[in-house]
Amino acid sequence: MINYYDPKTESAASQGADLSKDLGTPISKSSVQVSVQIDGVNIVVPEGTSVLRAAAIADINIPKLCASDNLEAFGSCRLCAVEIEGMRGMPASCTTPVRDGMKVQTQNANIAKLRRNIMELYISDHPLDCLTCPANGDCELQDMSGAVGLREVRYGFDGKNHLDGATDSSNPYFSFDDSKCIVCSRCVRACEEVQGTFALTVDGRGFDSRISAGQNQDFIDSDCVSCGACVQACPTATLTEKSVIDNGQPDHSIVTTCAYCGVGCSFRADMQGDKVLRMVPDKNGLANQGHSCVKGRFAFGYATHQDRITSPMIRDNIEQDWREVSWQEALEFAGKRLTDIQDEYGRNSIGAITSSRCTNEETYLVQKLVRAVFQNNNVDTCARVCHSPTGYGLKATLNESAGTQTFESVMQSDVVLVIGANPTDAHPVFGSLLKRRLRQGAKLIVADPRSIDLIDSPHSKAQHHLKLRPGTNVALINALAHVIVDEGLEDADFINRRCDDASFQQWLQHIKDQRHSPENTMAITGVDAGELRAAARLYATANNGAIYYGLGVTEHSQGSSSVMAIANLAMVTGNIGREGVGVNPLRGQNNVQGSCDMGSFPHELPGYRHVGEASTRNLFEQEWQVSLDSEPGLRIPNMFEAAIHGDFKGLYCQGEDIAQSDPNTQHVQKALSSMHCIIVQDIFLNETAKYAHVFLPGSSFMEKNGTFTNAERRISRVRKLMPALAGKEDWQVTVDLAKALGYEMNYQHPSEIMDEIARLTPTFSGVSYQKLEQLGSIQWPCNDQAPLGTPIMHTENFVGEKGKFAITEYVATAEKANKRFPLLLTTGRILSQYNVGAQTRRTDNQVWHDQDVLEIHPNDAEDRGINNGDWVGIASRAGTTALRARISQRMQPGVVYTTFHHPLSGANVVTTENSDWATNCPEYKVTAVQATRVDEPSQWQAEYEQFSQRQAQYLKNKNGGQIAET
Amino acid sequence: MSDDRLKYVVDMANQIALNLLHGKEQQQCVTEISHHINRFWAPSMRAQLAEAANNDNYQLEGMVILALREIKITAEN
Repeated sequence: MINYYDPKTESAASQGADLSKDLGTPISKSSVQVSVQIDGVNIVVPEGTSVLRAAAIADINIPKLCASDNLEAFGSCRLCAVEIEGMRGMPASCTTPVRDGMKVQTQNANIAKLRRNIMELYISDHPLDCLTCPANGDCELQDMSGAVGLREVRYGFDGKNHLDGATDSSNPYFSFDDSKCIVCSRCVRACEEVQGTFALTVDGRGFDSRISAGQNQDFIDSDCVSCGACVQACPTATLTEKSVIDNGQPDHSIVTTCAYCGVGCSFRADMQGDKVLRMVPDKNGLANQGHSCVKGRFAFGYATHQDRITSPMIRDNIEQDWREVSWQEALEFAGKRLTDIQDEYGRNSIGAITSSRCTNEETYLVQKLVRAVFQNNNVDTCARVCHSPTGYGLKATLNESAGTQTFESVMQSDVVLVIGANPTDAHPVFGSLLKRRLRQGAKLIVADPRSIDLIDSPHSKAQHHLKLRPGTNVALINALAHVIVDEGLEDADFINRRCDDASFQQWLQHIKDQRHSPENTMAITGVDAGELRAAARLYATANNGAIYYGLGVTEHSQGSSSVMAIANLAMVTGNIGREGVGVNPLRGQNNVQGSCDMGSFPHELPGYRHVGEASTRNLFEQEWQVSLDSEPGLRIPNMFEAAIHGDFKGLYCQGEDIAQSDPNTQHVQKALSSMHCIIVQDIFLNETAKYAHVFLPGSSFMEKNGTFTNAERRISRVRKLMPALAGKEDWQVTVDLAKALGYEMNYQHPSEIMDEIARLTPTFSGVSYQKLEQLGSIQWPCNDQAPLGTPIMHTENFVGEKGKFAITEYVATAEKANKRFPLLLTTGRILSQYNVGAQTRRTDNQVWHDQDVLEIHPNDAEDRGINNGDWVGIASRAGTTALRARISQRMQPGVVYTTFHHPLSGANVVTTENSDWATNCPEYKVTAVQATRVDEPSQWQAEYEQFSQRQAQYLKNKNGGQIAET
Repeated sequence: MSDDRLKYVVDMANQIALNLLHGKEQQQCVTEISHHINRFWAPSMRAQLAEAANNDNYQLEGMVILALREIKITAEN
């Protein structure tokens, strides 16, 4: 007897079981086991398992075309027909659940004949161009034709058919060839069940049935979000990547981790030699479970874009030509400049910025360089401008600076509260998972100033949209907590067992005050008191209530207070420490969690341990053989201030584009222009590099080994797919820079860096590349107490102590709308572009978003005489820029919105230096502005375009061309 | 030392105080403010705060002034 073993159980998956085989239908989660006999083999499976899946588990492979184990059984192709004792005819094994004692025959002469007849019908209406077909060698139709032994098509090909079907090539990444479609509906079901967009349908009936995008539209004009689920699902060449059509089938594959958002999807890179043909989401990847978005799936071409700079460059000042030099000369130049600066201005006059786009090992080395070689703690990371309040707020309350769950956990949530996040745009794969859970019946509460897509998705609608005014999160969350304690909805048992009583009692007195009631906060938040009370009750009374939040929470003057208020809310309702609940920060970039874990903040060594802790410092001092500074260093905005005032002169910036991403661009430009040595390590001459004196060419995620840590604390391998175009992986460059400064770092491979991290960091002590190979991925903490990692945090206690309630008083931002600046600007992201756009702007994703626009409510537009597409000047206390207008009902009156994916948009020319009180995370989400119709871009835009053109010329002249006119 | 720079740290310290002074006894507020600044601010910024406290041009919140007694002021390296 074969004992049922489904690798998709948590234990099996965590042990690295291979989920690649398509078992035909989804897993049944029944705890009741039934015994069946298939082709004489006894097998025990959960009740509800299909015959097709049960057979596949026993390695009895029944032919199939319309079935796939990521889709509900459909039963349309009938190829999986079997005979079952006691049942009439030949039922489809995909739609037939097993019964205890069932006896199944999957092969005999009758079944074989039926399958051949079915295939014969399919092939009679299918081009016989296998040898020249792009799917040749990777076609399930071809495979099944072979499996059933089809040898002839008796019907001929002269009758009515679809062989002249048109090809839709409108999507930049894949084409739809109607002539090859067998209408199995897998693409339609993938779009519905996996992605949740419902962009595809079967149009027409009977012989006229055809797959249609939208209302008989081209893919590009339909609701399709280009996630690629349909392409992956297609068993023929109908939906095929253009890269495969152009180049042929891959010859090998390497599994790696996506370099875009904090979901951290696992991908199988399908390769020809060292060329990536396509990225296919990996079914073994526990973060994405075989799904993807348009960025990770298709937008990888930037890695080999012509703009890549692959040689080191130096110059004495930023109005000079770049000079292409050897690695040695560039590193010696950089080393001497940094040394000279420290000699003249003191050891605290230089620092570094790590990037969440780089690996754990790379960020670890940069902070090591700063602490051990620069001999200060002036290291910060781009998390400063996104999720630093998460680190602060969760540490203060839950005693660990990280989210509490797996993404999969949401499938056990009954109520989901999404605050300040837009998962379908910014974390699309998680967004799809969430939508799937909502279609199953979970309730949704959204707190957001905008009407995001989740609020009204196909077959799911938010129960409550708390459309608050920007900047009032704390008042809103406090009001939710007030209702919970006011109406006795708190989880007293959880609070008594798990939480610090003194902090709870103090918080209780605070939150019970009537000033926090929905009725009293309504004037602040703009949210109806009745709606807010209903939302609070819904969350508090859920069996499992989960909170997901994003930058709409953190990027405020009270970002840290909001995070703590969210933690209060989860603790007071007992929604911590099990599946389906928790506090879940949706991290913006792929390695935000990791860069923070690795000690990128100026006050913390790796593992979130303060530089002032002598025992921790001693550990590192012994390993690194240096003495370390016990005082915190400068944060990024502090570095800018110090630079402007002449105290901070040198910066090593790896993989981050502060000139575009940080607020108040003109202030940042002034700071950058004040420095004597800026070293930029990047794959492109980004905006910051235009102010640099040394350019060290970086390596994309395809060119190096390492690890990323996603928003679930999941550490996943990044594997080298191709040689580094510049000859060095990023970690090697940092090692060489350290050497140029007189400090030896001895590593042969990033795995040795991870070994050092594990030696020095208790939450990583069980992590190694060897274990990552075995398990696929690991969620920290991973140590002796949790050797396989920790999927759900705080199950027994809060990291050795009790949860602490924090008092979070609402304090209005200093950024006020007034007569001069009557609108509130909030900024964010869209699906097709990523962060500063350096990667996605160099892909075909440009077809969806080639410029940032200003979204404005119709009333506000009408008041100002603004029409769709008009240039609109946006003025704030910090500066002025101009964007095209898009009139949108998604906005509430008085609030405008834009993105910052394009440098010349100057979105951050307008944002101010206001920041979170605890962490200095910029208040990107609230800027008082005025919008007026204008005829042309702003003065800043005109000047910056000229500056960029000069810099482009300096780059062109890198091999000795003439100095451009300035 | 320019005025802008001192104003920068004064505004930051006042903002910290505004967010920490609620629902607690005075001494707890003072301790939390000083703890926060000692924990997260570079010595140079703490020194600037002390300098601003001695300058009538800057308006430090009362709690910040009290917290200054517990804020570590060290000479820059």
